Amino acid sequence: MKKFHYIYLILFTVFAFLNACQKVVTIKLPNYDEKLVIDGKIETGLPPIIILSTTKDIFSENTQDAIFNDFISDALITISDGTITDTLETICSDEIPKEFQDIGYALFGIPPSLMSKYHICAYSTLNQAFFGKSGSTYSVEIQYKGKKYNASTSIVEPTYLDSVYWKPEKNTNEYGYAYGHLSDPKEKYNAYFWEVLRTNLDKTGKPSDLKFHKTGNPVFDDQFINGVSFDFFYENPRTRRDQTIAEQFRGLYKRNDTVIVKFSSLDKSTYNFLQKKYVQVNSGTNPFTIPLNIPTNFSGGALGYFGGYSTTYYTLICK
Amino acid sequence: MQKNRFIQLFILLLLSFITPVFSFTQSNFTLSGTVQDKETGTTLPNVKLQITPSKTIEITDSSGYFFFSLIPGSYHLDIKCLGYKPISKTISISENKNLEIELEVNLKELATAEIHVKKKSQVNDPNMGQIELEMKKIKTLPAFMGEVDILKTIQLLPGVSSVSEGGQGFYVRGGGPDQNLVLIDEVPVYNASHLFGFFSVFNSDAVKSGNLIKGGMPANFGGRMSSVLEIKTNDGDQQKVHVKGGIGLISSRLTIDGPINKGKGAFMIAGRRTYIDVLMKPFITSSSPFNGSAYFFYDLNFKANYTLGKKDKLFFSSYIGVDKFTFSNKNEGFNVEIPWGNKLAALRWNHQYSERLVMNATSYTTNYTFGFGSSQDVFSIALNSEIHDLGEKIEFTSTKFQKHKIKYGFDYIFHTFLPSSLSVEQGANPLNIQSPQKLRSHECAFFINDEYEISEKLKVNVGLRYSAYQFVGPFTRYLNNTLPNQASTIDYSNSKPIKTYGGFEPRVTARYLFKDKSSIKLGYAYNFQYIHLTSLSTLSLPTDIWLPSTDLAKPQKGYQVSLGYYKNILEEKVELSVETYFKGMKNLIEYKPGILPQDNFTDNIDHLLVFGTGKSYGIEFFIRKNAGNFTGWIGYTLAKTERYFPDIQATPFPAKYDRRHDLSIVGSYELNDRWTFGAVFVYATGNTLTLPSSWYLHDQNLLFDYNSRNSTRMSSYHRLDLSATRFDKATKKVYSYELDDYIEVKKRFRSNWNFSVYNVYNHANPFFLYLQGAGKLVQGNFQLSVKQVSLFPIIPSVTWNFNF
Repeated sequence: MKKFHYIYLILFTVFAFLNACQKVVTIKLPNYDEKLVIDGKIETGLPPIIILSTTKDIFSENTQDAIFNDFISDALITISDGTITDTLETICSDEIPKEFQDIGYALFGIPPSLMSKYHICAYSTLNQAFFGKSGSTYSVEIQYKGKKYNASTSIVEPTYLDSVYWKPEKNTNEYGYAYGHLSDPKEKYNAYFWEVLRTNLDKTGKPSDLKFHKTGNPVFDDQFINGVSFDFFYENPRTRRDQTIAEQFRGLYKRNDTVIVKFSSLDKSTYNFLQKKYVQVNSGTNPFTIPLNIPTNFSGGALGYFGGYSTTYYTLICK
Repeated sequence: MQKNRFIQLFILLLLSFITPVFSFTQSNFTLSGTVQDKETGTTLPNVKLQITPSKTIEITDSSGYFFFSLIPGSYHLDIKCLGYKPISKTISISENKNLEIELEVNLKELATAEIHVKKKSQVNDPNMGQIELEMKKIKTLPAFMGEVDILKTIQLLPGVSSVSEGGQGFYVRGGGPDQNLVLIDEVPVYNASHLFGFFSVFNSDAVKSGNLIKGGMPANFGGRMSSVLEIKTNDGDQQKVHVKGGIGLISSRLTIDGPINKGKGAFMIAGRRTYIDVLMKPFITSSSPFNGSAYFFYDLNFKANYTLGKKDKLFFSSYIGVDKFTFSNKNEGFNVEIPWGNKLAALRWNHQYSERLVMNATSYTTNYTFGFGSSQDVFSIALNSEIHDLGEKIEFTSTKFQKHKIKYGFDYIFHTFLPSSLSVEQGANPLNIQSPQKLRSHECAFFINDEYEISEKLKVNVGLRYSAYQFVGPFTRYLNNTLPNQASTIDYSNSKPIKTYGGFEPRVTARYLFKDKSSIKLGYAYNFQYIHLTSLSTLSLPTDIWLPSTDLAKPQKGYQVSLGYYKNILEEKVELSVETYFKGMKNLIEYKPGILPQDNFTDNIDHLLVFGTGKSYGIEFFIRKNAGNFTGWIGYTLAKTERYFPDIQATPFPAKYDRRHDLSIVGSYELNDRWTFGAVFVYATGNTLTLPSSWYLHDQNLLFDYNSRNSTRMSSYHRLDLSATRFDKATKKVYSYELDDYIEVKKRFRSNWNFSVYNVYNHANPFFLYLQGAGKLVQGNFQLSVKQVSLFPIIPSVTWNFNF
């Protein structure tokens, strides 16, 4: 799936080839209006998680305090499955017991050492009625500073991978990509999301990864593969820039790595959001694409998304 | 209703000019003919012919043709062309006369002629916004990397701009790059650039002249809204074989021309190839990210003409140009190939029915393709887009009626567009891709244009064009916009009409001449454009997609009103002009926000578009010195260009090439027979671009939010280029046994060295800007900054040119 992005790579290479010099310049940027940013998801078998923050000025001062004190913890969020409604509660970083701080890291992305220093909150519920179920639709309403923001998402029926496997690359017996074999159902729209977590221990004796990571372009739909049974492969996102590994082996899994693959099925709206998000993540503000605002499913002028993920898990031992 | 009334009035006006001519008595006769080089037989354009006592002046056209309409009597005809010996003749007119005038080269003026360019006097010419350039002139100006380029020089004229150093195409008076009709020997070229716009497709040795019409487009041209750029290639020498060429830093050229049958016909073949790929190879190490990459382009022009009799002449022109980028990584078994280029060919029949009626019939084919192919292991992907036109143009030029030069005829084009096609294979599993969808259409137009001298002071050029367009099958319309779950489709059979458009395109320019050799002109032009260009990139790239009008994408329509004042001073050596214009455009296209390249492959492309309007207005100042040792011009444009696409932004926004100020200073100084110096200075307001207004975090990814299109402006662009050209001596001394002395004879082998320095003071001009982050958010040291990428620092170059 990553091959489509070679088009951009090549175009960029051509211009990079001609690129004589770069320098930092001072320039006037468009006026900045602060907007609410909503980062929400609900996965099969797990409670909904929503984190709120705001947009920031391009040239704002980004100290730790400025960044981590900017998360919002005083909003009112309700969730509904169409039958019952519940109010989400906050789980805040400074309230997480030390033994669960690794989970906090997966949730907030900040090191455990900073967990107690800042009051970063996620909104969730332990009401099992709202643990994600495939075939269900969930709606959320957020009230913040007198405004309401609404969105809904669905968890579709999952499509399972036929198999996952690992294969060493040419000229080496030790490194290779992770492969999946998928038979795409022809009769309906399908979209997929690939995440990985290595559970083998690193040199310090800790698991290599504490959370699931995304590859460069982790999302695809059946636009080109509807009804097709095929193999595909993905890189190791954790070693793409790892300078301790020889260049030709970066982005590959090492023999004996143990990888948990989280393979999610998505509805079209969630796919559209993720597709455009990762196009922007990969292209940044380079001029070889047109400026791309990422769609949102929230009304009210907020950015971000509340998405449903129909997850399936696979263990891949690289050998 | 108002529009219909206007058209009726316009037709009445047109008829009022044409009708009276039928009642003229035949007491007037024509004096017509061609002017050619005595030695080579090559026809000479832009030769000045003056009749006394009436003091009427005519300039030969691109075929060397001229005509006067005269009452019976005795006249004195002066023919002048710099670089040739002047001729004076006394002519008695009592019937229609046709002359074949041969001019002899004047060795003393030869060097001057090399740098001289003679144009129609802007003061007298009834056309507006029209500028002619000759390669001889351009060759002494600074050349980027030694490559002389007529397109680069045209971009130095007021009202014309390039996007940037690496920009594809050019922009005229706020119109898009697709709105320029670029013609090589009357055949449209869809992509006039090599290497993403760094060089044009015009080989300087093959080109004879260029003519840009940016104002009131005459009715014999159409299909584009902004301008016409006519490039004429050299005809070749009917008497002798000549070879010329040049060796430069990145490319070399070779041109051969000569007789096919002495005095009857001639041919010209010109080739050019870059060798960046060969030169760079030794400097790219195996660890370099560019290892395995290569780029080159080549082009080939061929032209032939043959005189079939006194009244018939055939011309054949062709061009092939190919750019190719390749990349190969043997370790990963990864290969990429990106070829693109134009191919065109034309056959023109010139027939002279009488001294007063000439026909030019041209049949042509033109083709532009862009390809992308990549493979790794069992995975392969191929992308293609293509345009193919088959065209026919028949044009009659009639001088039957005194003071009228009437052109009429028709144009027909059959368009076949393949906006994009994709094929992907993974081993034995071909992936599910929509079959390539070609879009076909007919475009035709009838036109009539009359250049009418109402009085000595008032001359008008009035024309009417009626164009029609039909989008036809085979075509499949997807009704729910997306595959693979399309609800249903409509299938149109072969040649089935799907949508028809058409309308009148009135064109008028009028010139009023004042006693002090100045003039004022007013122009109006209304144009239809049935093809579109759209881009999924901020920059203009060969990947930009051409598509025809469809049932959803309506034809572009635009009008331009212009007003100008022109004056010659210092014995007509210096021309001054001021032109102001307003241009309105509608049915412009852009991709919908959020569309990605792969969306083109699974839907009708016109489902992915949004439609909008545009306007531009400005004032252009132009001062040009045409004669003397020092020649050149200063052009300044003050302009504004806006676009309004309600589906992109609720308010109008600047076009990406909106430039408030644009200044060009071009000079060429001939120190003596051996040395000529050139200089070019350009200054332009920076281009606009879209940068984000804020950033935010989502699932620990940094994302950007954009709130207004093209609201950031890059810093201004300015650059100085210098050149020096050293010519060898035009003559050599040989001993004459007859005269028993040394005499000067013309040298057969000639050469010159051109030394150029591009961007003399090494200014880092902006190519594009982007945001770059440094530091880490969790460490509290993350900072975004705006980085400017510049392409070319100071670049010296040297080219050796020769001919024999």
